[in-house]
Amino acid sequence: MIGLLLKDLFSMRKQVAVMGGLVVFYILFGFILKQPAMVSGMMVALFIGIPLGLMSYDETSKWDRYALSMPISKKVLIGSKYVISLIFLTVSLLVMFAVNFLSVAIFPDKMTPEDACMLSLAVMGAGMLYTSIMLPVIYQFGIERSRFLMIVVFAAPLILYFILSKAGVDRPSLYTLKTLAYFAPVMMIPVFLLSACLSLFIASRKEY
Amino acid sequence: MGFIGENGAGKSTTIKLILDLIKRNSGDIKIFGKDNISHGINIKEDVGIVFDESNFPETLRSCDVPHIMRHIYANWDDAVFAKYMRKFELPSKKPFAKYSRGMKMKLVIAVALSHHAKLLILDEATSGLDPIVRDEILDVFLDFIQDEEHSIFISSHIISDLEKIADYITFIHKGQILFSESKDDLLDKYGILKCSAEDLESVSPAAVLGSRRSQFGIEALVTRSQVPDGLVVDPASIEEIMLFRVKEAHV
Repeated sequence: MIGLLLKDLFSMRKQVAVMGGLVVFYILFGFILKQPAMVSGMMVALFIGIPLGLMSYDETSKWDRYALSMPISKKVLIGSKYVISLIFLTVSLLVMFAVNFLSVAIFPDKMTPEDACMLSLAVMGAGMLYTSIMLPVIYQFGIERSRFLMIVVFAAPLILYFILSKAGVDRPSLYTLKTLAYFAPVMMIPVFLLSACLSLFIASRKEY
Repeated sequence: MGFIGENGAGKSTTIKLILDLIKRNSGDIKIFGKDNISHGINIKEDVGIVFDESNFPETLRSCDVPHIMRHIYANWDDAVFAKYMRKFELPSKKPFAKYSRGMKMKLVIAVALSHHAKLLILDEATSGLDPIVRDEILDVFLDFIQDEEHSIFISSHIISDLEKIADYITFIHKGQILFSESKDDLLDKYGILKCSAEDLESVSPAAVLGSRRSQFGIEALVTRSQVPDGLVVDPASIEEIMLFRVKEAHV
């Protein structure tokens, strides 16, 4: 597993500088527009894209076939992608915490410490959900054929919100929303594990 | 062992089955006397694999490889890898995207040889390489098999490569093994008979494994020992044996 994680980290060496630049850009962009909350969304979008980009490298080079010819089981191969996703989601959570608490200090009228915590955890949960949906899809269809679905799944919450509000469905209470936000990462753990099992099932039937 | 056959004959499928990369419908496969699925991970510790292309993501550099591989292979040897990097003159800081095809293949061969594998499985590993690089790589393979515990299973279209390094030749056609014999036995056993149609009739049909007509007469692949005295039998190359056997299988 460590070998696979190192392979992924070394593979994205060049991306790190670009990502660092993008993080700084998003933070400045959010602060200049006085919309610090939007930085979290952009941040998580950036970080959940990393494992998907790594899978694209793997697919192009047929890495999975090569890796499975080594003493590596499918369980470890699939598991490593979930672990690397979780590592980057955790990094994104830490960056979001830092940015959101900085926002609390700079824009006390726009964000409270409670908002900062809630927003960071909610976005982390959303990132885990997105990853949980996309990884099995990519294992099933490959990265190229999954690109359109990546956009659809990313836009799905907005579409769902629009449909429900048009249908006259009442918004959940603030208390419910806050509770959901706080516990989003914890609630997503079983979804994440279920997704890993599904990906493993797909991989076990796949021919390399 | 050289593994030969035309495109689509089943060479890569066989290798994928050996490596448990595809599902088998029936039968069993043993490597080092062990089942390839239930002992897959242990077996793969002792197997070096080279496919027809480098499978490392192009953003990696060869200096990254030991850091990765020492966590994958229990017997990974940094010193051996460094030796092959020097031997193949591979730059360690260049991303693989900037490597030529020959350099990429040398890199995966260096990886396959750096964990003290007992068996190398090579799937068209020398295809698409220029003769100089191929020769250099074949010399490395020849060195590898000097150790009696080492074996190479190599599938290739380039028969001259197999003639250089293989002791045994296995020929697959439409998923069936047509022969699997020692290379020397094959070359001793079979020959090319060039004669007229009348002369060919004097040869037992059992001795003729394939024939073709040309404007000068008939060329036939024959079992040397069964050809009557007086007829001239030329040595047959592995390629000729393969071509005649395929044509005969089509008849």
